[in-house]
Amino acid sequence: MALDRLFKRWIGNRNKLDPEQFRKARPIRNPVVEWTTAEDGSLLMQVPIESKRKWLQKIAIKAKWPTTRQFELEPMGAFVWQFCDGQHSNETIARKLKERYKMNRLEAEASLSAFLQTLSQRGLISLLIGTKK
Amino acid sequence: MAFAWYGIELDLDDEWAPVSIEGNQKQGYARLGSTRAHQVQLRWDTVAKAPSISDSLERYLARIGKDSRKAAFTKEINVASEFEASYRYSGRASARGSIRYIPDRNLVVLVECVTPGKDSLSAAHQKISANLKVDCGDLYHWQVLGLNVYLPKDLEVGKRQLFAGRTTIQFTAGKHTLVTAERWGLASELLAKHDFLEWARAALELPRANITDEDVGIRLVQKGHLLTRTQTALVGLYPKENRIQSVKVQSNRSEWNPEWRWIGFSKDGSEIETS
Repeated sequence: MALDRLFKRWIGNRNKLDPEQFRKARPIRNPVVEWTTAEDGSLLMQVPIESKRKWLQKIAIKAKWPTTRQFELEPMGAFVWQFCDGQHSNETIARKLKERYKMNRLEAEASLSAFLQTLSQRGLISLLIGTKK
Repeated sequence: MAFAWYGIELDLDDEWAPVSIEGNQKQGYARLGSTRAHQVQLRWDTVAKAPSISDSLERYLARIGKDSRKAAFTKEINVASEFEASYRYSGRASARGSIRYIPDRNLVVLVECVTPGKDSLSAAHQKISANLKVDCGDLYHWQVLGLNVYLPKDLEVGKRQLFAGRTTIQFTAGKHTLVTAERWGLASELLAKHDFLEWARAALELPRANITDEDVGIRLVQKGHLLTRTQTALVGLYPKENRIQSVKVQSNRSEWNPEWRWIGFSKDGSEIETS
């Protein structure tokens, strides 16, 4: 039990951001992601699939498995994506989202938070925490 | 974000959002939080006769003082009139508030700004308190998370879903009438993919409804049968705010017919100005 609590204290809480930290965090795109913008404002992204295991890479090449993963973002997602440059904080992006789509603050923050979480889980962005250099 | 519940309206900035809402028309409590950890608390209570405002306030502050336990508790009350008083206290938290008796509704309303620190609350409280409005007419104002409707005063809140992008409140009027007020955000994005009429039919779950375009918006009527109630809905589009709003009434009583002013349109079709 004690170990479990210790584990939770060290590991479990390590990645949690409090709302204030989240507001100030700045999303930055994964540099390996390539994207093209469609006419309707949506975005097509390609991410190379890399395996750390060399034997798996060899199998993938021989089996002609796809070398990239594709993601499509709707115009609203594409709007957020353009600000994921490590310069704009989540707070700023939420404000821009609010102005562009006439959302209320809570709505903009909740949608942005959920969207960034999805991008982060897919390895498309990281969050920079701390002061800008 | 302005907030109105059972016709009690608070004019708040966009930084405020509801955290907790409890109670009914007679008695209730709402708490709104801001990005700076400040809170606004709204309490309302129906009384049989005009109360002594200062006594009510003393009782309320005594309860707060008891809860603050070891923290030193100080309070100050300023009685402005027979029906109005303001106060401040400092204990585990600091607060500034005001209490008001509304004779037309036999209602005591208390609005309080609270901070866990020592920040000054006087400007925030003054603004909130000065703009406090209580509806006493036949319609009560409801405004929360972008939903902004005026509904008959006899309604009680039933189920509610306060999600970002879609806000739904269901009201009941006795056993036989159900009123549902809904608000959808991102209207232009929704309507870029769907036809407005078809979208309304699907979103309001009225597949057999007759639709009439009434300039201001659309009216959907689905007649009831032996076991089902007649359902009438009004749907309005608000391009300026990029939202769609609807009121659906499920009732077999003819007096329960939704009106355009319920969803914020006056008779000539213009939007009613709200805070």
